[in-house]
Amino acid sequence: MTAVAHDAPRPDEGRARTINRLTALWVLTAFALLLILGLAGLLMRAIQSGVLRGLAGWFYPILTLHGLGMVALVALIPLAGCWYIFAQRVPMSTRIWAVCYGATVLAVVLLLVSTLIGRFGTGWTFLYPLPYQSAGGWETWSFVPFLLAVTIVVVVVLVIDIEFLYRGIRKYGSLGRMYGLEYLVDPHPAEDGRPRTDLATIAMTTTALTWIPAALLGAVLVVLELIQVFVPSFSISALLAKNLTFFAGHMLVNVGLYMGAALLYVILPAYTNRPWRVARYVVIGWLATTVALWFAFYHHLYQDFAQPDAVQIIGQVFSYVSAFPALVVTLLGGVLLVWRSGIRWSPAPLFMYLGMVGWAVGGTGAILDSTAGINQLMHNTLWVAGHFHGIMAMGVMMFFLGTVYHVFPGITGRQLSERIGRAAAVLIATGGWIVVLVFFLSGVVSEPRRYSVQLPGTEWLALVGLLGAILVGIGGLMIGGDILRALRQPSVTPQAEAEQRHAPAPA
Amino acid sequence: MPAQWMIGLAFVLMGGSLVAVFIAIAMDARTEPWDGIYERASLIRRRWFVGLLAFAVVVFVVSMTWLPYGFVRAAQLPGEPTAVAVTAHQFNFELDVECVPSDAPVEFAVGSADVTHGFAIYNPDGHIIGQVQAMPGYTNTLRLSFPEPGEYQIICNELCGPGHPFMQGSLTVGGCGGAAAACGGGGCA
Repeated sequence: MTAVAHDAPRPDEGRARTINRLTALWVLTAFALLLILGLAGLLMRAIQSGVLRGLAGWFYPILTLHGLGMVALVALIPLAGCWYIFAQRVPMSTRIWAVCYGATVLAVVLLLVSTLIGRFGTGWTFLYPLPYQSAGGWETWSFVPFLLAVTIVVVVVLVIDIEFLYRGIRKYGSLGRMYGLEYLVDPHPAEDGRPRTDLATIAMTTTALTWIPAALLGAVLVVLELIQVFVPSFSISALLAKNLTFFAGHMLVNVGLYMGAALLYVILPAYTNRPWRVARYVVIGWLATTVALWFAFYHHLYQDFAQPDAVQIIGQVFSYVSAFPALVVTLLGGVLLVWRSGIRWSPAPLFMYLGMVGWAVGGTGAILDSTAGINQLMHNTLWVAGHFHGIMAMGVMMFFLGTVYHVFPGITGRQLSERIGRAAAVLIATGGWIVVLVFFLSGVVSEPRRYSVQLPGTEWLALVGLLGAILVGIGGLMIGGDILRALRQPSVTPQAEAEQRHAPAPA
Repeated sequence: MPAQWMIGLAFVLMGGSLVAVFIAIAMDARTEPWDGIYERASLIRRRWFVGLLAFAVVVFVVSMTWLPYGFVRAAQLPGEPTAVAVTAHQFNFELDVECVPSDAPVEFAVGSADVTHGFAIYNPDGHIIGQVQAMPGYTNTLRLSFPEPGEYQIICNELCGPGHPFMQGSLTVGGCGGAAAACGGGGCA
């Protein structure tokens, strides 16, 4: 496969075939879900703009479907990419991964049942105690499939993270070596007969170590919520529930982003023909990320003044801290890797590069909003939608598309059209940034988020956003169509040849 | 200029600078051996880090004066505030005072009777001037001053159910007239 570490034993042929098939299945499923959930987003903008005002009663179930679905995909899609990479390096279980795939499909069904049949409409954050007090919007039973879908996503990421740590420790010798802690002592550690870590492994280790505690606390919340479903007299603190929601929720989208970074570390060097090496500052950066992620989530609760003031300030400190590794390690590193490399902008590096732009610009909006005084004016306006669509849609999803173009020849033995890929990239980038910048502008004019009806006089903003979303949809359909076209073709390139052609430069 | 436009301008300058770098790097068609760039990279990274750190520290220190919390606002808006008790319900706001003075401290004690709501105050120009969450079981206290008299809109900006986008209220600032007694110690402008 394309992203095989140079020191890794090659999986045997049967296992390699299983890995490729599972990955192809994930790619196709992810693509289909992205199109469906993207359509949900498009429908919301159509309702807000007045084009489809008749569907306003469906706005909140659609919002919930789009929100939880996309949050889950932001984590699961990079997870699938990372699983593929690490399955080449360590014996990740294909059986476990297949079960995870089946569970994910079940989660999709549960989410559809909850939102489209049960009309569950709390948004993906299901802020306590809204699920039980719907004011006629939905029946409480619809919360159960929603919670089960959440649980499945949490557990799938948890299981793969634990397996990754287990396999990684067996390969590298310790958790510390997976992190590259030896680089803190010696910037150029001598060979000692055991494999050294790499950037993708460090990023994935970070995500695993941050997700495990978040998943456990998220599970506590799910259990407490389920108890109340069946024992209505039971109740919990709304503030505690909100802390748990955002500790786990903020972590989930961030581990998705950092797994996206792992994909970037593997794929971009393959096209610049330059190595992206582990160094002391990289290890320090990822350690800082690990710690910052545990505390940065407090910025979601800046407007809950019942939180201790010190906690709010801690939230701002660690939100700022979390920006440094991204800006100094990954984004600067990626830019320098590309700089004067003579890179040919085929779709894979093009999407990866666009993903870095999305991360940088969306992150800028996020850092501004993580300043408590600014958040006082921007919280729960569409500014928030602007920054997370910048990071997730224009960042993580671009990494996904880059990964698809990178791995597709290797896993299918077929080629995607570069011409279509580049054209789709232009459409998706143009439309996507229209969507995102309109969100930011709407935040500047104090348009509240999650409003099925825009404030008077601002419907035109939703209409412009809708046009942007349509461009994204066209771009997505072009790539989806090209994937289907390619799959109908005979396998013209032997997989081994494709792998060889796309093999990354030695680190 | 509303503070939101200043924030938007800061975003355009910061984000635009980053985009300019990305475009310049992508458009630079020259090639150069990696070893030379790798050597310069260390210096670039160090300067970038130091510059960012200095910027972040300055912004952080300044931003502490923007905090909306009690210990900062009490110092910035001294004096006995006009107290307003707010209870949020699905889907309306109940305020025990409907008119407050302008240019004097007002303190909103915000709670909820059912689910979590948002309590965002919009000035007559349509911009948020302050907000706090209304959470069941808790009282969040927001201290504000209204520099301009007029009709201020209150909007729920936390998803609270199907009636969420219609959950709005209003507050009169200044000119309270006969309601002066309700305007608290500061009186009405």
